[in-house]
Amino acid sequence: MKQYIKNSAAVLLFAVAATVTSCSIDDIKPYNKLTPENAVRDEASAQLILNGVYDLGREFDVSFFPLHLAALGNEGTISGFMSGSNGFNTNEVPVDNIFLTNLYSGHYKIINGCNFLIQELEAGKAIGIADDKKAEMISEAKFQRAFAHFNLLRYFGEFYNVNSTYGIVVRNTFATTLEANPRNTVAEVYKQIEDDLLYASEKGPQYIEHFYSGSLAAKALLSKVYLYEGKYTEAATLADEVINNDEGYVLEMQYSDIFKNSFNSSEVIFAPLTGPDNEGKTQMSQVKRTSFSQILRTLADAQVGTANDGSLLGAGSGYDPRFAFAYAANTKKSNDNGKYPFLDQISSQGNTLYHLRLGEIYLIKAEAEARRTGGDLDIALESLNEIRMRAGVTPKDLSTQAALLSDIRNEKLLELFFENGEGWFDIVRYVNLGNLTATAAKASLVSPNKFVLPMPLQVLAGNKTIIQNKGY
Amino acid sequence: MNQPLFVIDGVPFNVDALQGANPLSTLNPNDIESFDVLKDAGATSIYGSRGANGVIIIKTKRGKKGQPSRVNFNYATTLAQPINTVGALNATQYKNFYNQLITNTVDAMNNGQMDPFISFDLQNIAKVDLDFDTFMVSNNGMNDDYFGTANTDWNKEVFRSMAVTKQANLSLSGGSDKTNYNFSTSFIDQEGLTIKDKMKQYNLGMSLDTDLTDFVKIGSSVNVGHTEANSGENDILNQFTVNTSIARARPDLAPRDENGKLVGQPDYQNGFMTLEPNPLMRLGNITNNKAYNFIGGAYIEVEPLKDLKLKAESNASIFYNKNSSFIPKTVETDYIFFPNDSYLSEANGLVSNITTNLTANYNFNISENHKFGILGGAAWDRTNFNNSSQFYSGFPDDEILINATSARTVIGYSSTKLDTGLYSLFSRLNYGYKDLYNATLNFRTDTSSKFGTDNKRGYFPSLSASWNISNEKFLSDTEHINILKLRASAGRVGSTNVSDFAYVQFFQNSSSNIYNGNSGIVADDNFPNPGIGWETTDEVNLGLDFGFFNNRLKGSFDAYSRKTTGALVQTPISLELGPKSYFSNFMDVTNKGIEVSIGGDIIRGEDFVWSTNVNWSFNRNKLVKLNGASINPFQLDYYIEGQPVGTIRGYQVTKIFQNQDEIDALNAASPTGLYDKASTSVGDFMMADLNGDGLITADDKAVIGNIQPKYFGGISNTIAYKNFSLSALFQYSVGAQSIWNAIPMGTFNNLGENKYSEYALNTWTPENPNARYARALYTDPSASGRISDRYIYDTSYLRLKSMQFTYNFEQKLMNKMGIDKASFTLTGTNLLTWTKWPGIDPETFSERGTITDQINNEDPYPLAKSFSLGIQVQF
Repeated sequence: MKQYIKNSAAVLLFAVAATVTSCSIDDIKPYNKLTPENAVRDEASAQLILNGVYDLGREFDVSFFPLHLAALGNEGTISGFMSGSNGFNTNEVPVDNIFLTNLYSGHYKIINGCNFLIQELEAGKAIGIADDKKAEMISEAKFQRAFAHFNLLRYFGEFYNVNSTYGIVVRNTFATTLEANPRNTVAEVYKQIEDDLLYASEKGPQYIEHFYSGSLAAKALLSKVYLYEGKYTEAATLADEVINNDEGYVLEMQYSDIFKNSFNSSEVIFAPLTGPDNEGKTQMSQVKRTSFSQILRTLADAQVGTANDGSLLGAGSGYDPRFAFAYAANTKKSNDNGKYPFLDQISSQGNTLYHLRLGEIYLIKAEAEARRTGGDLDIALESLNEIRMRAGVTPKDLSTQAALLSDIRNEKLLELFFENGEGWFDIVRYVNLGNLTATAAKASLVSPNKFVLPMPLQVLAGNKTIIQNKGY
Repeated sequence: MNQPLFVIDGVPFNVDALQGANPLSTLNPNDIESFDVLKDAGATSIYGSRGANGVIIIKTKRGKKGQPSRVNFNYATTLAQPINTVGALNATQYKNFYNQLITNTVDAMNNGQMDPFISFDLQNIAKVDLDFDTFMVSNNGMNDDYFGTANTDWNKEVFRSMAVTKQANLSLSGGSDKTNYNFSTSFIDQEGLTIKDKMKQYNLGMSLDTDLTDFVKIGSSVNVGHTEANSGENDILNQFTVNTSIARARPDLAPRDENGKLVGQPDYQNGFMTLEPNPLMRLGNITNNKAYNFIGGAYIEVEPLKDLKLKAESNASIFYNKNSSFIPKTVETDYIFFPNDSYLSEANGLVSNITTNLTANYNFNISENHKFGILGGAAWDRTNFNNSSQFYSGFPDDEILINATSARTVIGYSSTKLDTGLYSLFSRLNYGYKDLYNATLNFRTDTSSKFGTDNKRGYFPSLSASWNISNEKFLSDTEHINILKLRASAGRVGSTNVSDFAYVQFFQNSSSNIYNGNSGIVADDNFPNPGIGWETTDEVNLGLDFGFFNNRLKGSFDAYSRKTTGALVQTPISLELGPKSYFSNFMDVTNKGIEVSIGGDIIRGEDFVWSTNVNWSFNRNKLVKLNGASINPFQLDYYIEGQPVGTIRGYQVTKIFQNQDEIDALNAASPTGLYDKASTSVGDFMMADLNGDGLITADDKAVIGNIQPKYFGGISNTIAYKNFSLSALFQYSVGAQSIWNAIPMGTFNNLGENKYSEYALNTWTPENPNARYARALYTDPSASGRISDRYIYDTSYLRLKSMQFTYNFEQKLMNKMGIDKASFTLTGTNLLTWTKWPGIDPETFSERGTITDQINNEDPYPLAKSFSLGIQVQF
């Protein structure tokens, strides 16, 4: 008993002494955390931030939106339950669809990471980095920033009208203080995107793996941005430059090889790396929860043989080979879409997101050439037919500009369905350019208000200066 | 919501801040001498910052000086069942519902309300066919082989018919003229309510106080506990609680096949067939949680001068948790076309806390009538958290090779370390005049490491006074008034209930931030708030204690008004900044209320006593102000200025449409041609167009309910006759409302799952036009699942919380056997409940604990309804 008392007293005195001597509250510091002051110190630490930006592009919230866009347009429908799918099939997306909030936030996280890296590199925080390496890293970040802004604009802003005030908020500085900015105009957003992509085109790295975004990716994206802005001459020239690149980017001989080779395909300009275990993957395997639309099926059927002769048994017959590759029994694989053959398992390589590939650039060139003042319809047709010939369907003949434009849009649907939502954006652009009737493309497009998704409720709650889109 | 501060033998434990460690599980329940709730500002403010959610003072038993040693033994066995279970359809009802669902959905397609291509989904379960020429869908009923022949009651399969708990306790206490001691040990062996749950707990406690000299006293106490819990629940990936898992399980399928193997259930929620684990399979996780807890403390008290006491006190507590959960392939949805992964999660947490208090206390009298007490002190409280976890994947089998060694790969890992501290200075001045007037002045200042340099310190003064009227001369002759005391207090307390370092932007990388095999560093998702600081509550209290007629009627009356300024909560942020989470001193909230307690001995006879006590509490909560320059308060659902916190917003349902003309007229009058959804038709809700713009948008939402009760309390009765006593405690709550989330969520009508009876038996059909819920359609195209007043239910209840029957054995008889005292008790808990709430339990809403979790009831693990038989012996 005595011993016990003595021991307690000793422990007690020791504890008192220990605490009294270390009693400044300011001594309590966080462990194992970097802060903005010391996150970028040299080239290696800057590279870690850049890796982080790329990694954010595969986050759950931003990694399967092409499936929602496919349902928003006329590529297909979402069947059964999928995160955030509420309202997409019928173009009645509610403002309280929480997935939209996450999508919105996910893109601004990428932008914020880019802004931090650009700011720190420009401020000379990376000690000892070579000037050209620094410019390359800034270029990669600027591409990612431009791409995120472009996506946000296309989802939540009136991207099809350069005179609209319904743009999105442009962020080009790293956020350190709480502030709430109003929406920029569409023209201001495009200006920011163009500036970033021009820099990245000039200074971006070359001869890199296709899951990094170098100079060519910047040019490719810029040609698409020009097309959206109606700067057709610039778009056509740049698309042509991308097609005739000297970095070895060429169309795959076989359409199916694109999806077999995934982000390593010679045709892919930018698609994120995916891999087993910690590397992570996109959620595109959820394509299993979608099905093609009757419009796509009918269009694919019309390309080969007679109408309604298509079959998806075996290797498929009577359909456009691209459609058959995706959906025929022999090639559709477990996810019911041959474009995304990898399973959602930890040990699987996983499916990538086809953000930009050369096939689309041929069709951008075709459309821009067909639309530009003084454009040569034969050049446009030639570019279109390169894609058709690779696919193994009969080339188109030239009739009118209107017919050609319509063929190009159909071709994009056939070539790119369920890849990057381009089918939807094409509908919106074509309708606004007077080349298409909205309800003909999809019956539920009853109002121009449907061309833009609602600003999500949580976005409005956190920033009272944001004006909701029309009709929501 | 927030837990009160527990003060165990003078040592404060902020349970919210301990990240799941539970100091109460360290204590032997039989060692608890007293359990007091401090309410008024004067009492709580000595605990300063952490008293804002109330203070509960727990004193453990200590021996008494000069008491002969005494042994206490008790043993109890408890039999328990869930207090209630979810009501889901039986096999026949399930068949009827699906026939109705298919009929409704096909009709909606043929009436142009839904896309006929959705009929492909229905083909998974029913004979429906789309004619490509007419785009009409034919319906020939459900597939013949779709329904199984069983009629399984999953509640019976999952819950034990009787969960048995055995509990034993042994203690020894006593003292000499200088020393007192208490030793105790206890053991609990508990079966959980589900067939997979089991828990064992061991506690050991000892305390010792001794007078070393006439001036020096020392003492020490140690409590050690060990808990081991096994369960089949999945803490990591599970999207279901045990109840939601039961509710969605098909009743027409048996749990096992003819070989006795558990079988999954065909399901079509993804648009293709999967096998959903049945509820028993979902409990197939092998989860083991072990906790080792230690609380120990020692003090030395010196009295160098008469009435001057210096006390140094130090307490250490260590909570070590080791959790492991193996998630076999069979507990997750089986996609059939590829095998599932299996996982193992291992996590360790070590929380250590050291508090040191130095106090000086001096009591003196200026004259006989004027008594003073002065106390000054300092306290240091520091807690260290060390957590680590590993998440493995890929195991050769599901039974034996399930340890980390057998894993194919590790896919997640983490290790975090955090220090947090609270340093305080405090002082108290007491003044008493005779036994009539008392006044206490407290002043305390705390610094918390949670806040930035300029915001660390908070000041917490309080003043309380009392007037003991019954001691006044003019009343001293009155025999009828035994107690009459008026109390008043005013003071301030504070709270730091927010994560540490919320004022800094961190950059970090985790196991999943990898690109091309290299680490990626990303900004933390919490946006820094350099101004974040103390949440303070100012409180004014007025109370009256009374006891009349020889204390046969006694009670108290309290009125309070509290104003919380800068309540710390997660705050909406402009998402363009990047991070999504932001903490700030967001709200100013007031609480005003009255608490009344009246009781007494209705009958007080020689052999027979009947006493009763009634508590009645009334609280009005109001959100006064939101502090956020950039937020748009009209877009927030739960926080509305001028309304109570936890106000539920949603649509008001005018009625269910009964004929198409009504809808056509509304659509014609709408500026867009649609009043609500394109599919809105007969059988759907007519939402009220509150702003009168002719169509339903988010602007038509209104306040439709409130989670705050109008009043609540308890009623207790005790009857004692000779050696018998019987007591009953009722508890009640009146006027609160909640959304039962499962119902609106269920309106999507995924194909395959079973439905809650509350929903499925009350949907609109032509035969049931006055239904509570809209017609059931696959994919809910008319958005009937939007939160509306049809999903709000009254959560008022009256519950017989406990009933206890005790028999004390005849003392003389016992004494002959060498036993001081012996008794026998039979206790029933949660025996009866009266409520209109259609969910499981109006008392427990959520396994999480924030305000918004009170709004959406999610059927958490049920409380137990139990009977317990126990004996107590003292010798």
